[in-house]
Amino acid sequence: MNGMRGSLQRIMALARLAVVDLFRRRDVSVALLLAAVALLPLLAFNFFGVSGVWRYVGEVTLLLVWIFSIAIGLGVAARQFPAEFDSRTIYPLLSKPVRRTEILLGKFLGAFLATASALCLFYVCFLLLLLLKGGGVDPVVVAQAFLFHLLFVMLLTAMAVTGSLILTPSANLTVCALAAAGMLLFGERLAGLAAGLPLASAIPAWAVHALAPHMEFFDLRLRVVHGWPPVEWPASLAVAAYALCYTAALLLLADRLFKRKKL
Amino acid sequence: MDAVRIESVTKLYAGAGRPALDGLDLAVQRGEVFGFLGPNGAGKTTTIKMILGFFAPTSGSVRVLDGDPQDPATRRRIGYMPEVANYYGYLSACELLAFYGRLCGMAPEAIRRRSGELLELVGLQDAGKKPLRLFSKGMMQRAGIAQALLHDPELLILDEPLTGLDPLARIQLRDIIVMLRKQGRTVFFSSHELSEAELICDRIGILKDGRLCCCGGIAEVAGDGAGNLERIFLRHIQEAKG
Amino acid sequence: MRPNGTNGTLLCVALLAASAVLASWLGRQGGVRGNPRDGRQADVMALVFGEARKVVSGGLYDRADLYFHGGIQAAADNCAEQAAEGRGGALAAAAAGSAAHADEDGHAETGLVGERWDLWSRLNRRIHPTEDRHASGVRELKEVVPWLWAAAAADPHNTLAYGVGAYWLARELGRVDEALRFIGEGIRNNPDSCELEFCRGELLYLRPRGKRDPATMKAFSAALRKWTPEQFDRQEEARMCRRNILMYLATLHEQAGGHEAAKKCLRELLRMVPDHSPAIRMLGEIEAAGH
Repeated sequence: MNGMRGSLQRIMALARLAVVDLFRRRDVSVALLLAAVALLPLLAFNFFGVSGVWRYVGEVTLLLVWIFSIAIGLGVAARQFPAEFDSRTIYPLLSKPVRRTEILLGKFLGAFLATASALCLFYVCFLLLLLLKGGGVDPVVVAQAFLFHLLFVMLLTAMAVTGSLILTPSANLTVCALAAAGMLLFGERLAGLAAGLPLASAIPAWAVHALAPHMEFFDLRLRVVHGWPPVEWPASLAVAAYALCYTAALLLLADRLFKRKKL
Repeated sequence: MDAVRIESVTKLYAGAGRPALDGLDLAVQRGEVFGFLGPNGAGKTTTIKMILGFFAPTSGSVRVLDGDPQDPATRRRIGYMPEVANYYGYLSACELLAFYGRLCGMAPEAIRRRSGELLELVGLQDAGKKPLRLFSKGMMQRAGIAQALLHDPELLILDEPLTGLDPLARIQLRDIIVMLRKQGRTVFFSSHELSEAELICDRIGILKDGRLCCCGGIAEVAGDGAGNLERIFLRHIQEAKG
Repeated sequence: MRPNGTNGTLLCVALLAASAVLASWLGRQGGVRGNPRDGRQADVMALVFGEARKVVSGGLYDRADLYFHGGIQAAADNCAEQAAEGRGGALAAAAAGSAAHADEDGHAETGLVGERWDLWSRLNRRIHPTEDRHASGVRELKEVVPWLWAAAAADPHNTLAYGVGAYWLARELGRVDEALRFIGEGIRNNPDSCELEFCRGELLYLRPRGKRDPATMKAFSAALRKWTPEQFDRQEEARMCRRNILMYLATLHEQAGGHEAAKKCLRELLRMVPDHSPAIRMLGEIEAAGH
């Protein structure tokens, strides 16, 4: 029990480092300023004197929240290990009584918590903007969208942390960003695409459909912006289970890679 | 009882033509200051990394403080200062020590107390709140010493600790090592600074091409007593080549 | 005190909040008016997007279409296919009063793997709504407007955005004056567009006493003068537009006492569509009245 608590303490110490790093680098401040530059003109617009028009603000804001969460999540997660290797801070770290698995979990949790805390801030801003525009969103749907977004961030950071142990930082960022954007945009259509292909091409297409991380599961922007009801709980649980299993599989792979890593 | 016992250790890196360590035998006794000397590429850093449990030897065995260095419980008793002192630039020295203290399982109060003592010891008491990215190389090296001593280790491993230090800081580090010896702690340090090694080491070992050329007290290694440590070092290296 | 990262972030949040309140207040005051007629704005759009502005404008127009369908792409696509007018998607079809209903299931086909085993697609359908839904009520319908405005702002030659936008403002939101201003801007940017003149005529016609307003007649006459088959994607569309113009003109001439002009319009209309019953009936009534 004591060992478990000590392990948790070490993991949290490592995770805290990533959160401090993110906020001290001012990445979040820059994202907020960019969002302000993009959103303030939109807020100030009055279309033909029609009042109470808010969905476009909701849609654009949520789009920016997604873009920034991907950028911040990938940026933070992908630099966790390369930064340690490049600056050689990994050596004093490894010399402490800490297991490699704990370092990996700490790095992952740090990247996740850092992005999640930025995400909290973004959603608060989103709600604030909607309040100003008189937007009538269902709080249950917004809460669900936020939780799904957190699951997305969890999966994304796990992917980037794992990638950082195999690929170079730039290649990792490119691959993860393409995978995230590609699946968000086309994930839902993969099955339809595979169904329309001849057998030889359909097999790899189905393999991608079956194995690639279906990021689009976590995107509830449509429900928030267009006032659709929340996702039913069995489907929500299925999505959460999917995210957890996928993340666990990625972290297991990362653990093996990190243990074998030549330092 | 030895602080470090290395027996017939061979380390072969994948793709490398020759082993980095070739049947190395080394014993460092408890309470001594041991200087680990050798030219670049001799295998000093590989040895240190194995002592710290970063990786296992291809063959042979490494025991540190009677434990397996890959076991975190053993590492809890080791302090390490790397050759290139580079720490998280966005943290202050106090935060850095708090972070490492938490990793070592220290209580917050103990971390605070020990950090204060150590920052004063290494002369950084006025820079404790300053971000590390604003530190000079020498200051960073001192922060490195502080983090290595934070959890009161029985064995201190210093990899090229004198690099980048100004004369005053060198004297301070030398005093710290002497103080540690008085406290009965073991210090294992690698260096190119032969004159410093001569001043503080109880024993030295000279490594060449992954083999230990000689090991013992300065007088013992000097053999016929000819010249200072630099001459002894050169002689042993040439002998090893021959 | 030098702000650290966290303070900086909080400062940014505070600044953002203050600016948002100010911007929102400005919006309510009508301070920054969405107005594509501003020549400088059109220049900026051209500078930013170049020739791509047509694509951007089309995308923004599609967004409006999507909003009409509760954000469901499949529903919008299905509706667009079925839209009687063929151009402009379901929004234009709705504007023409013939909104078609989409097929309820937008299910993806499944070939190699059966529907039953494709868990991801099944899960996707439970997460992302697929039912067809049309916006209704002012609260929902007004949400379409910003996208139509943006489509027109992105490409001032997107006549469809002007036409549908004006329709939406006038008929769904009851803002006829704003609609007329918008369509007037469209006509200034597209002086040869028959469709926009026709749309303007219809808007004027709908106003109280619009049938007696000389401007209504002027608008339909201009539409007839500007009519060329090349402006339309399909010949059927061109013919239908001309038929409608002629019918409106005949009605207006008749009300103004211009029986000969009305008969001329009706005869031309009947040459195009010999069995056009309203035209046959109207012509019969005029001739029966001895004009």
